[in-house]
Amino acid sequence: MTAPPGVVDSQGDDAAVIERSWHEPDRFRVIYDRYFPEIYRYVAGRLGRDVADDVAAETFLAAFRKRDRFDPARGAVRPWLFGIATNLVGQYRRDESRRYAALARLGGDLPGGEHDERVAARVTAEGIRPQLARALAALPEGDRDALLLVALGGLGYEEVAQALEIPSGTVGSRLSRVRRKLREALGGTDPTSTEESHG
Amino acid sequence: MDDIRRVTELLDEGGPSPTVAATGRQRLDELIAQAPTAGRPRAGESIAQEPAGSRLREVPSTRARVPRTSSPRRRWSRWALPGIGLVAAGAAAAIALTVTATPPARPQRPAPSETAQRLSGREVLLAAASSAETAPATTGRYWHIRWVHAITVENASPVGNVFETWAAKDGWWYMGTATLDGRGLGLDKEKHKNGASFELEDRMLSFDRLQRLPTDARRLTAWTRTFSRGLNASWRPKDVEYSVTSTLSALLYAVPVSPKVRAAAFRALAQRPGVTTGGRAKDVRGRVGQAVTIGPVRLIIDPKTAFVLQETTGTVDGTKASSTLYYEVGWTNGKPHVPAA
Repeated sequence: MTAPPGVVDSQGDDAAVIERSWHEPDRFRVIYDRYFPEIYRYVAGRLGRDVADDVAAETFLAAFRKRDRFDPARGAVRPWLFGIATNLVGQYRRDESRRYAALARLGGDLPGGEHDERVAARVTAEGIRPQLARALAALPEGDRDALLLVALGGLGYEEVAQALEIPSGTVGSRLSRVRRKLREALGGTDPTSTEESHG
Repeated sequence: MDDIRRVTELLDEGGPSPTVAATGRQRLDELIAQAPTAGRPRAGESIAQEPAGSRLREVPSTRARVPRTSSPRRRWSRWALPGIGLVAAGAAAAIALTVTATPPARPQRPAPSETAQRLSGREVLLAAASSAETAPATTGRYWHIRWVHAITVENASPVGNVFETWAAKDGWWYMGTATLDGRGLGLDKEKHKNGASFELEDRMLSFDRLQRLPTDARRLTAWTRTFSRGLNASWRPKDVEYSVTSTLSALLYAVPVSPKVRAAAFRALAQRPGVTTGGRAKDVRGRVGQAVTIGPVRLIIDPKTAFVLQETTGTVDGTKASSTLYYEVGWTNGKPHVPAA
């Protein structure tokens, strides 16, 4: 979930690349090569890999089309791209809900005899999965955007603020509210409990 | 941050495969080409970042290095893939695509009169198993695959690429890409540790490991099941079973295995649920084979040579289809290069 090497140092450079791409569109490929993997990972985490194949690419097409509207005074290129991706993800709300519903389903189709072979990590993951997925599904959209920009995009608070075009103080309050809800959903004390895990 | 880490673990699907990254780059390239001043860097300007304007790109190995750690499944067949694609999403997630065993490429289905003696899907696979078993074992410097992957979306020209990969036993891996009209795009290379340069469902394996695969169909299925479970910890058993089918199918061409293992993969596929035949069929290139549908995957196979000609997946309504045509699969001593037309 960390930024690829060079991202921090290349922030100023990113903006210069965008600016030069106004007249030399080819330059924009640099932005793609630098950020496609992490944008993809973010979108795939929210919508699944199939949709991400398309939506992650669309993010860069949309960014290219409005590259002349990128304003370095309002933030860096990386959060700008994540903001565009988040807007596109928002058009797939039903798909995202279905993904959480799927992740919340459990055990119903476990064939017999499978239990012993499953590794402990998987059991643990399944143990908390329904609660966590349901909690994610229930979050207000803005709160979920902030959470997943951090959890899947690896963005810091300031970057989240730039991506969602909200004050960073708002990011802080959204995230603390979200995390309180998540802890409640996980039962607070022992989120790895597996007692419900086999349905 | 523990609660946030749990969210990451729950949702993380990994990064893009080289193929998905290349396809997205090509879509961007096409858009760039339509922009007013595309591809004309002014004289005297530094182009240190990118060989702008040059269509033929030798790509340094550090570029486009994508995370390969947690990205299951072979990606070039997945874009519009019902069934297997849904696996990644944990189930019926995402997309307006519905799981179906109906092959999308209906026009390729021949009229019944063309197939006087129609083999069942299982018979086609078992015939291919016999051919595969008697094929001589081969070797060479690189395991080489040349294929074309095209995504067709209704009312739009196909988006896709020509791909070639070369994998050497010492860990070197190369992938060349070109546009569908044969314009070379570049050659990526990566060195993988411990000789793990052979890509099976986005997972990198060593030649030694591949040589130890079971030659018995039942044991090979069990191996792919264990392998599939390792691909994504959050998959449900149903998802794992989809992955078993797609992994067995990938063993037919994606990686070098012995003739016996290849035969076992065909036999194992014959035992998978949902095997039906599409009869004699032509692939997009006009090559003739037998169409077999195994769950969500439709293969056109030449049973005599046991060569997989084409793999097709798509949506029920036929608005999107993803086809992979295999042109060359096997060992070569030829040097990796940017694909030509």
